[in-house]
Amino acid sequence: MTIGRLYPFALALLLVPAGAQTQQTVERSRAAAADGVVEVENVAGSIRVEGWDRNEVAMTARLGRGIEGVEFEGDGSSTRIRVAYPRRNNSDGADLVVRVPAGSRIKVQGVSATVVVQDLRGPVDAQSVSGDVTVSGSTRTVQAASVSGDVRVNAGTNDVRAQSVSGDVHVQGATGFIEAETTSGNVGVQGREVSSLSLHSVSGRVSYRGSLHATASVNIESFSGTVDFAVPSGTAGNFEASTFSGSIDNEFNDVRPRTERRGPGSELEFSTGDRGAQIELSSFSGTIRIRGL
Amino acid sequence: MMMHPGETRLNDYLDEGLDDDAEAALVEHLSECASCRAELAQLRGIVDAAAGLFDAIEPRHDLWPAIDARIDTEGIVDLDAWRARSGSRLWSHRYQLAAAATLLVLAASTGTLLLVRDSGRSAPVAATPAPESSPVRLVSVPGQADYLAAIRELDALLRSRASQMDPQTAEVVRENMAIIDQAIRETHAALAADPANGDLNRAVTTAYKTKIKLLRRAVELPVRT
Repeated sequence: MTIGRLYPFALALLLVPAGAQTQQTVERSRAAAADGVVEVENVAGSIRVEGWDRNEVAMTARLGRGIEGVEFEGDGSSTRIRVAYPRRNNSDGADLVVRVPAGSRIKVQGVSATVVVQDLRGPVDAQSVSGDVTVSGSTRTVQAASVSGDVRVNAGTNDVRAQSVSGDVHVQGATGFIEAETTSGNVGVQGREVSSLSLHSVSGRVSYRGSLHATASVNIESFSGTVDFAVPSGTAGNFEASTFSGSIDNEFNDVRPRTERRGPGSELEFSTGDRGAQIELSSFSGTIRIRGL
Repeated sequence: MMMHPGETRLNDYLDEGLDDDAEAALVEHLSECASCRAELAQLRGIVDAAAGLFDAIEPRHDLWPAIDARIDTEGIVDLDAWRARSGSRLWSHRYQLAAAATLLVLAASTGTLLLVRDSGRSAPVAATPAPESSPVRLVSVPGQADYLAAIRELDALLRSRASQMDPQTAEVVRENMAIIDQAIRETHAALAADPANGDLNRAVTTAYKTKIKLLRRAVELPVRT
């Protein structure tokens, strides 16, 4: 979804105008499919999308000074909401609250706007550039991203992809597939029965705490940050950890890491049980800590 | 019987890096597992073959100045391509080691180095200029030519959009690109000192991928509205 792109909707565009020099609150609603697509774009301010049990999309928009209006358009299967900003004049942001059928497919795009999505069951794609992005509820799949904002996913979700660049990424309560990455921020994940876990940071700390599926695949990397990995003490699997110049602190069992023969770092490898998760932890210069819960 | 040991453990066994208990368990496993014995034999053969090559890795004199002007990504030998040509089906640390050694010898003898001066050659518009430290000779990693080409392409695209980006966002991108560039430099420096280290090969590759991801992310950002 790209800001500024216009789709050829069959129905006429409804641009709700706002007073140029005053704040204004606008409310609109329309019927919507239970599993339709809802797209929301707002450059500045905030976007809040909430699921409800009606087959209806309802919007409340508080438009700041200078904002031209808000587009609220669509048909039975899709709804598009876009705040229209003036091209040249400075303007305040807009605060949107959008209620949608809980099974909707949501696409949200902010620039400096904060984004909050909650109580959805359908897939969510929520992005901002400098704003924080928060997704919560029982959402089936989540893609959440920011550049300098923090990303938080607090959801019993089966498929999470979360990323930032300088912000932190936090995922809590997810299961199944989890992929989270940032460059200079921290990554923290609390999961349960996770089957695929991929966590990456360059300079930030990366941590996982929770249980794994019996055949889980785990790959956690940080270049210079600490890797902190905590799973239940009875977790079966093949554990491999290595650093180039960092240390390894194994509190999971009595196996001691050994010095990497090719460098100043350490490596550790052990198996628990005949079958289990495949766990790979690595850091170039950071510390790796493995713990039992 | 213990789980199949995996390549890392077999490497350790060859390097006599296992403790007594681990070695005894592995030997017991090998006595019962034909496939692991075959893999071990294959690894041992490669190690033996590669062992004689390393004395020739370092060029006898610095060839860089003479080829600096001519070398480009096309001059980098792609280990993936080498593997494809060689028909090797298994790609692992030992195979990378052997391939790197072989390629380096071939490269030295034909006047083409597997080295590039600095990833800063393709530094993106948003990145902090690389410190003017002594140049790090970069041992090629599999796919490096492709990574560098992608970085150059994305870098050009980012440059073309630089004026449209929000200044604060551009600063965030620049700062984080510098962090990744530093990671690339450090991993390459380590790899230059230990070209056979598979973990370092992977670390370099990861750093390149991270940079490409960030560049892609940056060029896809909404422009200032």
